[in-house]
Amino acid sequence: MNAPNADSLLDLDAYDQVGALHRKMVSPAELTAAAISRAEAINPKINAIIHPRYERATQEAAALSQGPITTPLHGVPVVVKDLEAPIAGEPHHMGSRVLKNLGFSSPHDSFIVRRLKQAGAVIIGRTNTPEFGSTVTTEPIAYGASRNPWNLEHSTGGSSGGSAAAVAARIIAVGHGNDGGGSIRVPASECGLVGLKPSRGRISKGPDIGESWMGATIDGVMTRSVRDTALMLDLLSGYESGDPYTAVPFARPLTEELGKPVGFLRIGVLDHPLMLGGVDHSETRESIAKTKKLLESLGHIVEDAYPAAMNEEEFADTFTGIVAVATDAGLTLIEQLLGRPMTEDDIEPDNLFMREIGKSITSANYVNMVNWMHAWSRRMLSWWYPADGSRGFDILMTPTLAGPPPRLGWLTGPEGGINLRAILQYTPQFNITGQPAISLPLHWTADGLPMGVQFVAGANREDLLVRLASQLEVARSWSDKVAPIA
Amino acid sequence: MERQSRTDSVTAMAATVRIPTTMRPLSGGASTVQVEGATLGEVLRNLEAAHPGFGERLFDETGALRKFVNVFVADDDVRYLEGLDTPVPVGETVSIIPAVAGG
Repeated sequence: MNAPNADSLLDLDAYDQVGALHRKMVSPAELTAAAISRAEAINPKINAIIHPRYERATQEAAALSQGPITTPLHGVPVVVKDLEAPIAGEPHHMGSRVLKNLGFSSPHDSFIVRRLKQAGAVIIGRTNTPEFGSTVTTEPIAYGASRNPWNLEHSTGGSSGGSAAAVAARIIAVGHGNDGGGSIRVPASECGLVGLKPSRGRISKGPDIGESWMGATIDGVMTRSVRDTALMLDLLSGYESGDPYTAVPFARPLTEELGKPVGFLRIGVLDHPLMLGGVDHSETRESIAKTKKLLESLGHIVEDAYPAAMNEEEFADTFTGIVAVATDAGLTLIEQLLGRPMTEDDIEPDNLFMREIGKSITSANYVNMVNWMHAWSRRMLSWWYPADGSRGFDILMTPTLAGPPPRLGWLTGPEGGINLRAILQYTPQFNITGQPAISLPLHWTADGLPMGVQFVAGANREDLLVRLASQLEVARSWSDKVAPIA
Repeated sequence: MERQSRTDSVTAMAATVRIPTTMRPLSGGASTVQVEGATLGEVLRNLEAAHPGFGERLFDETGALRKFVNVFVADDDVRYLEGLDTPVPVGETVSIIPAVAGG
């Protein structure tokens, strides 16, 4: 077999890149150089990587090339989102003009970055994010819009949109993200990727953070194949000293779930928005209808059913209230760094509005909101685990987003926060319940834009999601779908 | 624990305004408030009269609805009706729908 061209390996997933690296068909230095070369060619068009670390990545890959193979990834290039997950001494700006101007950085690596490095990943850059990650498009004033590799006029989704665009453009195979209301699943949906939001407590946010947004946020990855997601979650999961809570460990590595029989699952389907003002789009309904047929053809028991608590209108505003309080708290910390109050020249309008809401919520209101969410979560989970011991559902299937990827500007204009409510119908619920949920690229619109379908499992059941996802990946492969920019 | 507003005496003529969780500190915790008014503008101004503070949250300096707030009369988005001039039939539900965050 001829040695592969390093550039051509970038079209493969990380799993195959690992195979080539471990068999010494390519060196870490060659693969990293190829990724950097692609980034230099493509990134100016999509603005995915905002803090390149090409020189350091080259040095790190060279060091790996010189040593023995001791790590599972041994030189797989990756990107890390510039929101949380700091790298020691490197920019950590969170999409904020103020933090950019301050040259803000962390003195230490985050635990997730440490795990990436220990696994042998080579981080080639940090990626774009909306300001403080509080919306699902990646168009911060501080760094400009990331552009969707499937159509440059459309959003990449967010808030992990920079990483998603880099993976879809095949600069790298693995993009780090985090998800507090859909921020892994939505960019995965809009960029045609696999995006699994892990269970609460699956991956540590330390050492700087215990929880954020009432425990809604969790880190993870976006990848082109299901096995890459399994591989990376195996490497990134697990308790770190001082974590406030931790997910029930996997019974076996997720990579061992790949291709294993999934059985005949009881799957409930929701194909339309339940909240006032939600977008009910024909492409969304079609994406669900055809996936429903696929599931039935695989022998699953598919019913039009969903948790009754999904109908509770209180959820969206209670969620927003919690985010708003966290926004105000975070901005207050930044003001302490700045030594002055922040103004409308420092903060984007939507986050200013969130701060206004946050300031109006008393501590007693906040505790009541948290308690409401906890009670609501129990109502939600009773659909998977009925109190009377009867058989619940295994999986809920919904659209990831209520509609195709919007055009750039639609979520950042004056009515962005209202438009966000119209499309963010299906994902934040599972940040609050803490359940694992995955978006799979199972539909492309007539215009060639990707749309994900979301699957939600019971508590701690990433194993079931990986089995189902690997079954669907075989049944309706998306490996021939390549973004035009790639 | 819901409290009724002081406009209860006109309930028969009033619309029901649904108050989002994040604005309930202004309504004393009430999730709905009964308010009179033939148009949306009248309803919302009467809401401010009954529960001061709503005006600042709902209107901009020109008196228009703020871009961060949307309102539905029954199931219809008033941006696609007549805005603040949208008629509000007696007994109808008015829902205040503020912008959300979530990423």
